[in-house]
Amino acid sequence: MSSPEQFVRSPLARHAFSLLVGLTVGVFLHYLLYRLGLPIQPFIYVAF
Amino acid sequence: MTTKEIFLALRTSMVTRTVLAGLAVGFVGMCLLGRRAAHTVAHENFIRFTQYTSPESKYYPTVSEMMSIVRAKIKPGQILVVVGGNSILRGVAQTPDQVWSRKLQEKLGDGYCVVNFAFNSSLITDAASVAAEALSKEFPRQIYIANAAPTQAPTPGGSSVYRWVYWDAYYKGLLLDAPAREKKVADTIYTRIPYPDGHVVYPFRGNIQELKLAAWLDSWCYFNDFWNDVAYEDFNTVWGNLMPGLADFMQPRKNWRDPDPDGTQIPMTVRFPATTLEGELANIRGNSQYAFNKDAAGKWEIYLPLWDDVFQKGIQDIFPPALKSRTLILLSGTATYYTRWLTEDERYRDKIAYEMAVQRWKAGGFDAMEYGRDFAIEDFYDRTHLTATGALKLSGMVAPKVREMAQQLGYLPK
Repeated sequence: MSSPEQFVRSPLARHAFSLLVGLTVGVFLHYLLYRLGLPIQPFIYVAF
Repeated sequence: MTTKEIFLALRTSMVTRTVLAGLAVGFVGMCLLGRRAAHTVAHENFIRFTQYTSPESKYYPTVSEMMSIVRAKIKPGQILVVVGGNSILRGVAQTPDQVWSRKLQEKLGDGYCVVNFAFNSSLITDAASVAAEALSKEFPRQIYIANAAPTQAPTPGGSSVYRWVYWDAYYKGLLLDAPAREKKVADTIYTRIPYPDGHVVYPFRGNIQELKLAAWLDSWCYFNDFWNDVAYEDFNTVWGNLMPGLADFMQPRKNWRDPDPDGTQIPMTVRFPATTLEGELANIRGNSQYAFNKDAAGKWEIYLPLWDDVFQKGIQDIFPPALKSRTLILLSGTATYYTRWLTEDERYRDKIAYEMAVQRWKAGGFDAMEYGRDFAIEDFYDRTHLTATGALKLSGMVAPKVREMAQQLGYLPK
């Protein structure tokens, strides 16, 4: 099987792209913790 | 290119170690930004929490957020007055200009800073009390005001809707050392009711394990503070009921108007509908019917198991001992529109239930007073909530009491 084509070829650009992806995933994980911490059951059913 | 080829090309364009480094930097950076947000989300010109800044629309203010609101409002030398309790003290049916806590601020003057952290359906032990406790070292000259119905002992650690604030403060290390309270909270959560058929119900447990885990994680990562800040200041990401449509829900929550109406403008037939009369009377009778029994002579006699075993023990240890004397419990009265339908005998029982509740709260180390018995029909929006005129009367009653407490607590020069 031939190696897949790369979108980003320059090593510096590859590191920059990788860093950007990593940062995005880090932010997303932080947001995911926030969303997972929110109760699912609506207020009205818990309160009354 | 096929989708698979695109993914493969993207994958081969990345350097794994740099991705992981980016992930770590991104996540840790967000945690640090969250810690910063915990000290900056101050809700400019804060008056009270609205439906759009409360769990009713899936917004859960953190204890740090409430502390930041206080720090932004209070001026040097002021005595802090934190208002908690339920929708009555939140000021339902009062516009932001009419809300009773604002009138209380006006009556108390510059020596005091009144902050209203009441939420709909919240208890004495809920969010506002936790925020006040967390600020008690920073602002030791403080008075906490909350309301209750007579014979109602609050759940320690907060109600099922609002107890996240207690655990938020607990894991952030913001609570005072109070082992008796901690034991009471644990005992309540794991209260078990065994049934004859063998099954067991835990009425207060609910989602406590998940909630504690989330609060513990948040004490490290501060995701609630950061994303609350984003939702309030920049753009809202959580849809819930009460939201203004699918397109507008991403507006920052600070842009959403406080929706509480002026209750005096609502027709009396809507506020006091005939169809709910019997139900409301049952609610009112429920305040006192289990608190007293008739003796042989036909006089109301106190029912001690309720007052001693349930109420008095219930209010014991709900707060750290040092914070009891600075707490004012308001026993919320009932609209005279309804009480006039009670018999003379029932009205008397209702009156002595309130008097007994005041006496018992005081015996428990708190201060207490009732209000509303002499209010006019138009001072009430419904059975319990107050209109703007009721708000004025309430603030007029509470202001001298707050001054008196401030004097007794040694907050004022002699």
